[in-house]
Amino acid sequence: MILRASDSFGLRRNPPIHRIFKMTEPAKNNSSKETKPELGLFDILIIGFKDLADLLMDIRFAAILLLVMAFATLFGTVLPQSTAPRDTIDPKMVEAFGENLYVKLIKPLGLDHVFSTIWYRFVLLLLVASVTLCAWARTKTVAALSKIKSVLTSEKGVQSLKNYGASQFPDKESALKWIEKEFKGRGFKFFSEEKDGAHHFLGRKNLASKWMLVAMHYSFVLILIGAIIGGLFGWKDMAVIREGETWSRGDGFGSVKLIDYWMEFNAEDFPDELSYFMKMPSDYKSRVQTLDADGNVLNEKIIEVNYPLNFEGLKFYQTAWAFEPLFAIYKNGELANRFMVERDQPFKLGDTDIVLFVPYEQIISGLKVSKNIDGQRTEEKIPPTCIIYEMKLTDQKEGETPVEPVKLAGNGTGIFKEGEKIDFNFGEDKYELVFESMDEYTILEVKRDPGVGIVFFGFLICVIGASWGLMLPYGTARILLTRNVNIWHLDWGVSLAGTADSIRRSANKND
Amino acid sequence: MEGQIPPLVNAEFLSFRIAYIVLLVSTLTYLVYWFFGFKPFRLIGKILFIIGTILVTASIGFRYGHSGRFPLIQSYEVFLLLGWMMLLIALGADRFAKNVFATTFTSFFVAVAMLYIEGHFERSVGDVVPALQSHWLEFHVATIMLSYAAVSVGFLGAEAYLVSRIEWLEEFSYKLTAFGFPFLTIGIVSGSIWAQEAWGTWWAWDPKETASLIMWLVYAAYLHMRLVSGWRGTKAAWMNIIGFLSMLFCFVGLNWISQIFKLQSEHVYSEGTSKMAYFLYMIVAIAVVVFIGGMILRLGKTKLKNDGNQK
Repeated sequence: MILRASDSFGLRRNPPIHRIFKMTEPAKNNSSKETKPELGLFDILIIGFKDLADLLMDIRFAAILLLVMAFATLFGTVLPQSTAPRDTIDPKMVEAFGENLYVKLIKPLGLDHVFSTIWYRFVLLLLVASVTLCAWARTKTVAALSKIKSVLTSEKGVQSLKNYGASQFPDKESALKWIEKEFKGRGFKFFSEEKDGAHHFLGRKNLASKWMLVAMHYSFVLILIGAIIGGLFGWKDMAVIREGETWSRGDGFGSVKLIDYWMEFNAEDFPDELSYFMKMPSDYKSRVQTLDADGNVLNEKIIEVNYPLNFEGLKFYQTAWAFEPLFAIYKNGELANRFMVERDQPFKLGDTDIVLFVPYEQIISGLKVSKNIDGQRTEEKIPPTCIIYEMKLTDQKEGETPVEPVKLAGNGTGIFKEGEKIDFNFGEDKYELVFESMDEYTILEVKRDPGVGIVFFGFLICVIGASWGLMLPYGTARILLTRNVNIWHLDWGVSLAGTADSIRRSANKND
Repeated sequence: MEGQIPPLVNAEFLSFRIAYIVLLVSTLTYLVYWFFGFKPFRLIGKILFIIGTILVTASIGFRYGHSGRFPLIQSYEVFLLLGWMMLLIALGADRFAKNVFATTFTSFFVAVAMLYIEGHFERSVGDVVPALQSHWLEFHVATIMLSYAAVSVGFLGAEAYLVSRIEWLEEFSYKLTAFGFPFLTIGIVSGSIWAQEAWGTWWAWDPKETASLIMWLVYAAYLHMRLVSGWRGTKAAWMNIIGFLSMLFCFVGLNWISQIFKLQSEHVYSEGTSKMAYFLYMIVAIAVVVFIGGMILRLGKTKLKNDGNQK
């Protein structure tokens, strides 16, 4: 598609700068000494803003903006976003895209954090401005449409609706019956007028759809307002709460106390202990108490994903969890070391240089849930359990070479419950690795978004507007009924192609 | 007894297989009608189409029975749901618009898709992760799939129009897109509300969210140009096809790209990269068939050339 300067792509044919110069040109007939007033900067600004408004109100420009926004969003969808702070180079991105592409194109254009770049936000702002102005312009149009100015029409007027036809009737009554059946039966409401023996009809259907579509456009403004309010006045924090401890946002406010955190496993989906480590738990839950500022218990609730806690205007979402498993090493019966096991971290055996390398795959703690024959829920507590697939003894002085393999706990599966131990020998010493205890934490995301109500209201209007406006389209019909000797000639036209087809089919059937 | 496949699983499997065979035969029957104009073949094709739809419904129903939940979580389930909804939409188009084009090519599209998913996607019922345990799941997925189904059938019309230049095909593709767009809006909105309930963020710029936004923007542009600017014919059909490509990108392509670029998203299916790629190849194959169908129309060898609305 080649765009020419005068292309009627919906853009103005007379760019504002030409109009300004035209207005400042002196009159061609110089007989009069009067000249047109010169335009000041303010006048030029007003004209400029008006032209900008006209441009933003143009439907085709709005469609272009929609596509530009879609194209810009594509970068943010396909490329990894926010993998590193903006002013740093991410080595993984360099590896994925090459230094040239990443440093010279992706980074400068902000394609690795598209949604927070100025240019993306500018396009978004432009789009919302366009939507608002379009909606405003169409509000006036639809309001004008609601007022009937004239019902009178002509054959040309009927045909201007693009979907038209004609029928003949022996008398006026049968013609009116046909109009009743084919048009009013399809939801058109008619206004009529008689002039010079001819009957003029103007019909409308689903005028409310026009209003619904206008409302839908205003809803985007509401959504943006809600988003801005949420962004400016919203608040969030992470509450990492150990069992038995409380979290509060500050003095004078109430607090949330974690009573218990656990994972749930459905008995039929998790038939044995090993399955706990092969699949995801069926749920994660935190039982909490809400306390007032004086520490009195107000309520008790279970928080889980999709079921947050509402408290003091804040919402608490189950986001993550943490465990602190405490292990101890006994050398020849005496405590040599006590440590928190972290995945793949080596630990020294007492005061020797021998390092115990204990990778564990997962830790679980929770409830095994099942339903009995009566459908009642039964629970079986699962003690803190971890799985250790391998243990290595490494002599740090000699490097990372495994020195001696160690027998795994239990029956070789490596499932290790709280209180259990693994015995092993190294040299002439006897060692015991004991899983002593485990602290459990829940991690709740705490948020307040004052704009979300406005956003959801905007969503509601948007959904109603889109559904109503598109499913029940607005239609106009014009009918001209004239008499020619003994025949009544009816010219009809309707804006909806589907309705026109349906009327023609009906007319063919009757013929 | 241990080792025996439960009867409902068997029933699901059987109805699934018979369904795509019936749908393929339905396509052939319709094509005979197209080529030779034998009216009884149109009726037979429709009956077979209805039987195929009932069988797909039964397959979904049996799956619901043995899994204990609505089947709309795993890739296998979602693709089957999409196919089922396309069949229902095509039936609606046949009923209300007397449009036999929709049933012909939708039956072929869905049959081929079912053949594909049978061989490539995991059928065994998977676990429902905690994040999906919400009453919003069914509503959100169903509305999104309905919108995908509508625009997919609309795409078939747009493509056939470009080849055959039969006007009612373009009108048909527009109507289906206009039907699907509100459901897309409802689907995106319901997803946002669900995200707010689950994670406290109604819009997180997740790749799936932004991909659905792209799809919404493209179709919004299409509707604007068609409704307000009066675009018809070739321009509108091409725009419709671009919209369909954006739908494919959102539904399938994103999963593929997520695995290549290691994008983080809550919506990435677990199927491997190669399976998604083959699905895209399948879409291309279907597009080629529709192209051929459009050429047949254009050559004037069928009764559908002048009027798609048959009595």
